[in-house]
Amino acid sequence: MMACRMLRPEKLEEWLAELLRSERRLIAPQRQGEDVVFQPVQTVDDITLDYINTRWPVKAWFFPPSEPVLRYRYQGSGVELEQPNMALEPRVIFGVRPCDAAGLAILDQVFNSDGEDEFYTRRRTMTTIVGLSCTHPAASCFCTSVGLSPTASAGSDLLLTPMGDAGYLVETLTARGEQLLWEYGHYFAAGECRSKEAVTEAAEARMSRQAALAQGIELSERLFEHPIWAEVARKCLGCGVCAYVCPTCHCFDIVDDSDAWGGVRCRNWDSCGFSLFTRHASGHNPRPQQDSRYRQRVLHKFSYFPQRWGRLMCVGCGRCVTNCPVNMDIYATAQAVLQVQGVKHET
Amino acid sequence: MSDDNWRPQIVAFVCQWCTYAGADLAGTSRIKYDPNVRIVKLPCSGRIGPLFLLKAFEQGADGVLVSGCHPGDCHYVSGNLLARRRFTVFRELLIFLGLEPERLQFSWVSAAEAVKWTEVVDAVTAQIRALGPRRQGWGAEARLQTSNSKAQSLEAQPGTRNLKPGTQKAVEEGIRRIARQLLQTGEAGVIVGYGNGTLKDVTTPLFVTEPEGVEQLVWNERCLNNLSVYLTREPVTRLGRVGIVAKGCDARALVALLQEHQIERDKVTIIGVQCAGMAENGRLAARCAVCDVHTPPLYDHLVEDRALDTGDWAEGDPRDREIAALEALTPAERWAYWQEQFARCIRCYACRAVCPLCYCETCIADKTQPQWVPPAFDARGNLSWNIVRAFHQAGRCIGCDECARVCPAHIRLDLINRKLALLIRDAYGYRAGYDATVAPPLTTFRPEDRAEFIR
Amino acid sequence: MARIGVFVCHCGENIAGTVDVEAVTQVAARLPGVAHAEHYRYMCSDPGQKLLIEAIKEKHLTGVVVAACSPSMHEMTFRGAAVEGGLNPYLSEMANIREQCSWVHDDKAAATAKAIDLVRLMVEKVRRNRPLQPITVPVTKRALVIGGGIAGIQAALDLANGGHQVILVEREPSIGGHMAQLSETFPTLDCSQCILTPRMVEVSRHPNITLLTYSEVEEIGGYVGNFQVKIRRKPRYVIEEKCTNCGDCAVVCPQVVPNEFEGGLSWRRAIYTPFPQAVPAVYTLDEEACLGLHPLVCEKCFQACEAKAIDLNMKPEIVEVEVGAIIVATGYDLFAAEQARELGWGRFPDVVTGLEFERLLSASGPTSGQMRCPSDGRVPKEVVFIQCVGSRDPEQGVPYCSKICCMYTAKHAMLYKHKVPDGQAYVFYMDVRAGGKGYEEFVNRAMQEDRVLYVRGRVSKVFEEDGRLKVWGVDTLTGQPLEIAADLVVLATAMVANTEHDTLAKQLRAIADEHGFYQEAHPKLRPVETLTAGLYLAGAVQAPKDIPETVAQASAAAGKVQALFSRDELQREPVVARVNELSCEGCFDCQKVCPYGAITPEEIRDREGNLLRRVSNVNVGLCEGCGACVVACRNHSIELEGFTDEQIYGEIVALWPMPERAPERVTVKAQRRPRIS
Repeated sequence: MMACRMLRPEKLEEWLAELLRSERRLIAPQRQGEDVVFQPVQTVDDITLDYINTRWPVKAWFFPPSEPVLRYRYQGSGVELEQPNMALEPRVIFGVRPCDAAGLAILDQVFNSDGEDEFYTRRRTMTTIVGLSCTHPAASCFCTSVGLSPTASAGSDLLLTPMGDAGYLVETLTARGEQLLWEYGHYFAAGECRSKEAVTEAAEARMSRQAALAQGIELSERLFEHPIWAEVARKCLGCGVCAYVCPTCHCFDIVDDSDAWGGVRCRNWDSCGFSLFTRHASGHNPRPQQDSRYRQRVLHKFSYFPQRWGRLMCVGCGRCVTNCPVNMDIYATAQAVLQVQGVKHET
Repeated sequence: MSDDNWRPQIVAFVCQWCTYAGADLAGTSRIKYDPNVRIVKLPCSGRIGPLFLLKAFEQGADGVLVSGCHPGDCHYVSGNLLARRRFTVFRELLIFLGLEPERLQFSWVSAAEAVKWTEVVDAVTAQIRALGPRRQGWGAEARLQTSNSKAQSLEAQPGTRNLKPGTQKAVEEGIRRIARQLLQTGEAGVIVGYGNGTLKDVTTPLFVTEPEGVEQLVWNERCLNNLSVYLTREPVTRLGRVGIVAKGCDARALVALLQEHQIERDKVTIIGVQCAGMAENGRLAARCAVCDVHTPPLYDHLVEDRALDTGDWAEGDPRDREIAALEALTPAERWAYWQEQFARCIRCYACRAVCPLCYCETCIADKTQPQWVPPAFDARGNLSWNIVRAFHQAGRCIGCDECARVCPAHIRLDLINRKLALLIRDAYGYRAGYDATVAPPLTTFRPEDRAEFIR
Repeated sequence: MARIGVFVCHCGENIAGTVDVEAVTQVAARLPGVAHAEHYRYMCSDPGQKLLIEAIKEKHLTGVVVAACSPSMHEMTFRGAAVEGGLNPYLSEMANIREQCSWVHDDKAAATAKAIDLVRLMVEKVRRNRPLQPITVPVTKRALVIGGGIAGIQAALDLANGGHQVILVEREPSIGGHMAQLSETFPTLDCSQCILTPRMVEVSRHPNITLLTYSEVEEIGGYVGNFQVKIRRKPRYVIEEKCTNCGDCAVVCPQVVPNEFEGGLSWRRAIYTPFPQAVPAVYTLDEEACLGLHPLVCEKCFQACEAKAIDLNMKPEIVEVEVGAIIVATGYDLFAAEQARELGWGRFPDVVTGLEFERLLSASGPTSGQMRCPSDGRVPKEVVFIQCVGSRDPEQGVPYCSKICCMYTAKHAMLYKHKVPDGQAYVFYMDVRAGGKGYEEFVNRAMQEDRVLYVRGRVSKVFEEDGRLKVWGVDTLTGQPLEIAADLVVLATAMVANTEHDTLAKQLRAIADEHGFYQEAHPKLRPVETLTAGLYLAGAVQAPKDIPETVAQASAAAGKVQALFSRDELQREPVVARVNELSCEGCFDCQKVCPYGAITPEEIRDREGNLLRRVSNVNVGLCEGCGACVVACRNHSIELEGFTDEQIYGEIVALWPMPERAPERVTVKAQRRPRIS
């Protein structure tokens, strides 16, 4: 998958316009109030490239906040089950930043770890991700600190990197990406593969947050019981914002919404920050306070997941930091924890 | 389904002593009336809660009727008098969110008023028939984002006062001085205040337990958080007696917490701070433009801001214009506006987490027996959550707007809160957060409370 | 698993003529949780009930729904049948398909559809009903009567004669109340003391009555059937059992103070008996009037007493009693006449209140019944009676009518005329209210026989000029202003609530209205009960009233107490509130909305006794089951048995199938394969 093409700047809009007319659904960043969010496109003029990152990560298009997984109806003393409508048209999501795309790569592992999650996988196979590299990270971005970069390719099918007047370097990374390129090849110029190294370095240099967090946090009993968790978590209010805006968080709750006639079983986003997340039916809660809950969040991302899957579960997008009502900052917390361990984390 | 086949689905919640008996009398008298109403009997109209009415609409009701004893005749003395206020506020809330007023109706029908009962049923049914089936949205499929329609833009008018930095440095030093003193004397075990955040122009809640630590306390126009929320959080209160830095709005929350017995006055030291207003998007926040508590209404120590100009603050709350604009729309337009807002809700419950008055460890939204708030994040579930949240705040919300600030989906929770606060101020002369000795407005009543919408 | 039985009644043709009972039964049989469904002509009949009883036993039913008439007709019937079948009565419900369905709809299809819906609703409710046990509360068969006026005396005697123990508490040294101060009573003009004192003596001698005078209620705890009362016996410094009422102590007492019984028109000693017929017939030393007890200044009374009945070291005593019912009969006070500043009471000695005039009339009063002016003792020839002083006066007084003043003013004027036949009596009135038996005739006697001059108009001013009292008023019927040179002016002051009603109300958890009168449970149908179970009212404490009404109310209250005491245990409906202490956040909104004071804070402590938090606690003896608390609770930490949130929720979600829930016709897909490790 080392093929690369160039896409001239003026061709981008034309390509998107033709995509819009195709049988594929085009989803791209658009303004919504003060935010930029991924939305189905009505006209190409609505698409904006004037954003550092979208408000919500792209995970919602594969793992929606709430979806029905089963319906049922009571019939006498029995129950009739029905599958929800699974039909889905093919989609292209344009403008996914490398951090979000890397999040998808992580979710791919999770949702295929225990059999195949057909709800996720169905959407994934019907979608082509056209990534868009970053040139100007935000003050809250720290993807380089977690082993990624503003031009990383993990999770994308095609990756566009802006190269100034020359247009975009187009990297083909998967078969799905290749398929799309082939269908719209007339927009893409073959030619020498320029290196995106310079662009990458320039973008990375603009990143104010730089730390060595990619090593993860090594778990020990001393660390687990350390009082630092109570300190950092004291101001946490236990809402679900950080988990919900995170490209990699994937915990969900299965609930029934039913009446006397039948009901729907839904899969809803859940957050380890909620106090009820680990409450048992007996009433006992093994994570009774915010300190243990926030510890769970941090260690899941920097310790447990890496142990199992070989990569951090944080992509450094910074959304949890900017959206947190009380400025919980996982970047700062990870450093503080490494400090406690005596591990070098400054770069 | 053709319109001819549509039968209005109407449920009536009635009290057993008056209206139910009146309906029985209509039966004994063989007076005929429309057969589309289903009666649910309760002991008293005071037992009829907004959750019932909401669930009825969610389950397919085209219309809901509520009926009880005439004021003054309640078998249980005051049930209907309390209910009168509750119904007034809840009805206004639903109308504000776009419900047609005729779909939710109320009446006082006594045990002797058989004829009135039949007339009420017939009249209500006829009105519901004319309106047609209730709108989608009370039961639609899960939706991810808004549809392609643009959100109606109701831009907040900028506050006309410019931000005055005042003498921020002096105030900051005043806060540090008092904090240090409280920690040194042991009057406080922990100071809850503001510190510098990890990003530019962001402050963060700070907990200082040692006198040396007070140097980290800051004061500027970005001290937005309502720190009162921490007074009901055990991880904070376990550090010792709390000394809290409180702006006027924060102090109003403290008053409300006192009213509801969540804190004891002698167990907290309030470091009141005269506040010139907070910044949002570079401008004076809307709530600050009309603030009347630049000096907090409750404090043990006061840090004065010498540059505080207490004259000519308010030229009207810009949100009142937005509320008026919404109320000028038709119900269908209003419904569309709020459906679009709530479609973005992802039930992160940040609004709940940040509100000082949402202190219940187990929220009604988390309760499952029964499950009043539908768990799916669809139109029906999100509407339900937001209605319950707003209603639970009615008469209690002190207007700090933290909920609206932290909502990641920018839902205009502040408009709903303000609408209800204005209603309660005008109808019952009550504003939350000024007097800890009075009863919250929905726990009391006056014989002269008005509710002209009740038949 | 629920096993509900549904029984659809034809009620002859009353239901079956409109509702297709067969169809209803068939649908019911297929409802989730229904194990038995049948229809029958008359479910309330013996065979009908037998069907129900048998079905419960044979089919092991866990609940029943009878679709028939209104529950107001037969809820008790079917609850009883359920009990006979071995089921808790609260697992039986009725679906009203007669009064609220077949009798009011003509359209058979619509009526049948509605009947089906109503049955389904009640099935869903009954599935969630819980068995409830009646709450039994033991009853202490002893009554407390607070107040020893005619109301308290009547109530105490009725109860005592009914065989019950009564404790009668009176704060003054003697019982008798205001009636003892009256001279004659309308409309018979019989002597007040003559009809009252035999009752007073009966009280003192009755074996079932414990009389505690010069005592006040200090604290009341508990609830109906089980009140714990603390009574403070003020020290009278006289040993009741030893005092012979000889009066030697008063003769030597050096201290003299105004006599309250005489309205301040004469004097008494510091050691005194309020009036000759006082019960108990003993003396009392007024600590405030005495020259000094601590330290002792004078002990002349002690030395003068041959019976050695004086104990100057007496201490207050707290008596603790348990009672099952309380009757409040604390009576009334009178409007402070000095507030009607233009009428001159307090400035001119010859301006007196109605009660003071009673004392002037009374043979045992300060003038021994001779009609005299208080200022100089001359016989008044011109007496002006002013009605509505403070009454019917929202601005300066009270807005209500005091009911008795028209009658007693007529009485006063008549009695004056009987004593001073050549005197002239004027009555300034707004209206004359004489609604009782013989009352109108009585007033007419005053006007016609005794030639009392009634002037319809108000008095604007009473003042002194050239040594004479002048009264300025107006006669509205002629439109003429009047000036009368009066020797005596009598003010008919308003009846107001007893000045201590506030403190007592708090102790009793009684509700007083804005005027201080205690609130009855229902203005028409429950005039002697209050909303606090076990607490009753008698007399003017509830509202202004005359003696016949007072006595009637007192007997009524005693009757209610007798009914309460007719059982050893009180059974209360178990439809009461219950708190979930785990989730209660202690905001106490429930307490604020409860009209019965049934909710109080309860402390939750750990094993070391440290206070963890406060939660709400419901007193099931006081809770009446209205459910206001349930709605006030934001996070559903309080429930009303019999009408729980779950039960109502069950009804609501059974109403209609949601069209949006209608499934697409898609085949069922295979289940996800579980991971096998």
